[in-house]
Parts: sequence; structure tokens; C-alpha cells
Amino acid sequence: MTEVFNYPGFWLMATVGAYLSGLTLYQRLGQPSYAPPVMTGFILITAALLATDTSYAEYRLSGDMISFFLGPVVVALAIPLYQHLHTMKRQLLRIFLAVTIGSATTVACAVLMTDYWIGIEAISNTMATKSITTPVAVALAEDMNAIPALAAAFVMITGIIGAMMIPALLKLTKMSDPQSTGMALGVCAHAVGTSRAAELGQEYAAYSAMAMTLTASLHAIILPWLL
Amino acid sequence: MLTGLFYLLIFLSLGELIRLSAGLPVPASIIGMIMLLIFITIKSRIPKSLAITATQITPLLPLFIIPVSAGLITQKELLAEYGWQLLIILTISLIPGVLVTALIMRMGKTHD
Repeated sequence: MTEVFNYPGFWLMATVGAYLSGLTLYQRLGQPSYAPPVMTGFILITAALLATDTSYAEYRLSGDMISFFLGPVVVALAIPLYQHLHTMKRQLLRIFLAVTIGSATTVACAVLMTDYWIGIEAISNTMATKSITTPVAVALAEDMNAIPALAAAFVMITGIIGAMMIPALLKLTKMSDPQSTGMALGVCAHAVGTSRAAELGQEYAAYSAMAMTLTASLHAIILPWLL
Repeated sequence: MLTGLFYLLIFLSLGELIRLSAGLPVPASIIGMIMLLIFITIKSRIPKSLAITATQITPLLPLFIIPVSAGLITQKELLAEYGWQLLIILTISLIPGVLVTALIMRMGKTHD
């Protein structure tokens, strides 16, 4: 009976099912940023692997079929980037500075804190990928002596904390105009931040999506040379 | 749907080809994205099939991430030992980044 757990089709089914459950829960709760479908799906799949005593190596036979599509999704980011570069040409320098300096600040803080507090190189390297959208973070982690699964978790947690904290923090410091808030969400909290920005309004969403894409591309190009 | 996916796979493979032949440390998908961006910019429009596929495939992102994140079960000891520190680092390190980003966006501008 338990041989079914060795059948790759079973884990494809289970992963799609876990995602759909996560999506349903997210929609039922009114799309709160603390319960993104990826987190629910992750919890369900991990629980299923532990319950059936299936090793991650076995699960990967099916998992890799699904996560392969992260590649095409990253390639497709060219489309929003093209659309936004077009509409925001006049502010290009300001946006470029905000993306580079803003993301360098948060990443440098995280990496330095990790070095000081934990002192394991692979974890510091993984920290460097925390503010970029998951498909890029995972691809990078694979290339640069970091831990892809940990990168996915850091990115997910950063996104959730950022989506909840950033609008409030900027309101507190009286810098909560749509452009600044959108940029901060995109630079520091990637896709989860961008979906939060979409709830706040169109201008927020446009800046956030652009910031997210620019941050991911810049990091993907620069980080491998630095570490 | 399939034509658009074909486009994406062409540029992904092109990205891998460039990465291998130039020995770049940058992921194939990012090189593919830049190539596609150049392609669209030269054409100065987005092929319709590509736009359709992108809007269909992008919302599925969480599904594609789940298998990778499930790899966390191989990191149990690490999380047991450093879980709290990692969570605090992730939270604290956001604050300066957010403030710097917002400050740059507002530099030299007048706001209401």
C-alpha cells in the first residue's frame, strides 16, 4: 500500500493539492499577507513528507518537475520590466539609486548581523538573497554556495514581515507617499510586498513591481561576483 | 499558451547557452530575461502569445516554489539551533533598507 508514496505522480498530485488548499484558505480569509498560499502549501507538503517518512531526495523526483517552471517565470519578468521602464523613464536615476542603495543596505545589515551572530558562511551567503523574489533567489543560491531551501524560506519570511511592517513604518516616519511606499515594498519585500502594494493602489503597485524586478536582476548579476 | 511557453523556453535555453559559453556566474533565467527584454525592446511590442502565457504562468509562482521550500526539512538541526536569531535578523535588517529607499525616493522633492 505504502508503495504509492514512491510513485512520482502521487507527489505531483500532493503538491498541486497543497497549493490549491493554500490558495483556497488565502481567499477564504480575505487574502491576508500573513497567510500566503506558498506558506500553507509548504506546511502541508512538509507535514505529508514527515508523516509518510518520505525523504526529500525521493520527493525531489516530482518536486523538480514543478520547480523547473521557476525558470520560465523569471524569463517572463522581462514583460513587466519593459512596461515599467517605458512609463518611468524620467525618474530612472532616482529609481536606480533607490534600488541599488536601498537593497544593498538591507542585505548588508542582514549579512553582517549573520556573520557576527551565527558565523556560518553558507548562512551568510543565503542571507544575501533574502530580498529578491524567490525564483531568482533559488537560482542564485544554487550557484553560490548557499542553501536553496533556506533561501526560499528567508525570502518567504522577509516578504511576510515586510508586507506587514513597511507601510506602517513609513507612515510612522511620515514618508508614506505612494511612490516611496511602493519602492520600499518592492526593494525589500519582493513579490509578497508587491501584492500588498496592489491592495494599496495602482501607483503603489506599479512602483513596487518595477522595484522588485530591478532588484532581482541587479542582485542576480552583482551578487555572484561579490561572494 | 504553448507558443508563449515556447518563447520562454527558447530564451531560457539561450540564457543557459550564453552562461555556459561565457562562463558567467549569473543564473541562466536572468540572462534569458535580459535577452527577452532586448528582443521586446527591439520589436518595441510584446508578442501577444507571450503576454498571454506570462499572465497565466506568473500567478502559479507559489506552486513552483513549494517543492524548493519543502527542502527545509533537510535543515532541521540548523533551524532548531538558529531559528530565532534568523527571524530577528530578517526583521531588523528590513528597517534601514526601507528607510533608505524611501529617503532616496523623496530626496529633493516637495511632498504634501
